[in-house]
Amino acid sequence: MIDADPLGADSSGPAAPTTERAPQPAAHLTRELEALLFAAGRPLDLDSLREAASYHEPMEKAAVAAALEVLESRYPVGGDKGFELARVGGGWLFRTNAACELALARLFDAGEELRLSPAATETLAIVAYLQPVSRPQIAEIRGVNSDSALHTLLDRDLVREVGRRDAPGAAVLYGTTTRFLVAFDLADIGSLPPIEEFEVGDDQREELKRRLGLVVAPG
Amino acid sequence: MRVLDLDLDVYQGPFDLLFTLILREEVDIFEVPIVEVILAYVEELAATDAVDWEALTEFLVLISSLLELKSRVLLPGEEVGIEDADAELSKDVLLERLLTYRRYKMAAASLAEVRERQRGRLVREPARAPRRALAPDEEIRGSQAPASLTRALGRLLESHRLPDTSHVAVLRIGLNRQIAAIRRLLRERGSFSFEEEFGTEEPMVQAVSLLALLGLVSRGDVKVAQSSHFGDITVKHVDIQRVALRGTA
Repeated sequence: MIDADPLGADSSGPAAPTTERAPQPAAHLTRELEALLFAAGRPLDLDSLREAASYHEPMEKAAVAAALEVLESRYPVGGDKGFELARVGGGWLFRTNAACELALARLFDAGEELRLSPAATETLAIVAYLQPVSRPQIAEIRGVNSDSALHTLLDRDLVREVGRRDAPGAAVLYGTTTRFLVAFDLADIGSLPPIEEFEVGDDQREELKRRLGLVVAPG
Repeated sequence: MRVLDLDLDVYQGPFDLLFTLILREEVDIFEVPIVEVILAYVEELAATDAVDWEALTEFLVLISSLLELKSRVLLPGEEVGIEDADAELSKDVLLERLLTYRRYKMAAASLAEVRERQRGRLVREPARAPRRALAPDEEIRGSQAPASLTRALGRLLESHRLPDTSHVAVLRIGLNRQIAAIRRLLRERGSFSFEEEFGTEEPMVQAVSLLALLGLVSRGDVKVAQSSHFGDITVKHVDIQRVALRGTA
């Protein structure tokens, strides 16, 4: 067979697992990954899964990725199974199917602890988009002191301290946690919708300018 | 002036209130009825028994920010001068701040929406505590905050596994053993340096050895000499003859 695509033939490149060429993953590997993810209760990344599966000899990354793909197709998000394998929080996680919410809510608290006040949600959005971010920066954007909202977020493990600003005063900087990514269905922090999406429309902007007295209204 | 029905509790700050007034209630900033807002709040305050100081402070901040914003835009705009240039600038700054705030408010609304969809997506608790119970490296790297160390240790303590103590040896030490050891050393050598023999032992072994030595000294079995305070102790056999003499006395 002639390789028609000389660029695509480089097998030493970064391993984007190509399902066509990768051999069918060993059944025992798929089974083991399934067990690990079932027991974990938190997102497991490729490296952790590979490390756990490498009890005899180092396991190929591509083999683990291929086995994960098998599992993803076995437990698709929003499929007809009671639970699904989701790519969230920098790894893979089993969670219940959202379609089962009503039945689940009759027996369990459906994430009630993650109900947030508008103030806390606004603060969370600012931390998520601007991290690492300091308290004064958050207060500047919101126009009010946001300490109590930030405390709620720290308590619920949605936000954490990520360091200190390398400047006089060394303000504490905050960022989001893996729990945040899981709670808001994000594979990683880069999967947040771009902030530009929340820009106000041109007409609203003009209206605002007019009402603020920045432009003189015609007539 | 029309009457606004404002529930002040629901506003998240001066920008939020201003945005609502301007865009939803379609009020020009010149018309924002600050006196009405204050009167409404005071009435509400009079109706409640206990004063919520935090809410009161927030209201003061809110209303004074609003006053500041309003006074800025009320500055006359037709005269040309440096002060007006400043006023125009601060209006631009105000617009930018309003727009920035609006952006994050919308982002928050989108997060809340996602969260609502997530309500049916439950995750099991982990079956077992993970073997590696320490905080992930990236959580403590670069942080000088004691809080993160506390959390890391907390996570370690939460682990249900008992810590592996196989490397900790049981200390076997007793007075009689050390007395026997000192006697053996003296039998073999006649005299020895305490520092050389016991200096590298565990503190407990050193302490018990010293007690053993003092016991032997008080019984008159050994002689000790120390040239300076806290210096090395030289241990010697007592002359056998003297022991014998004392024995017959």
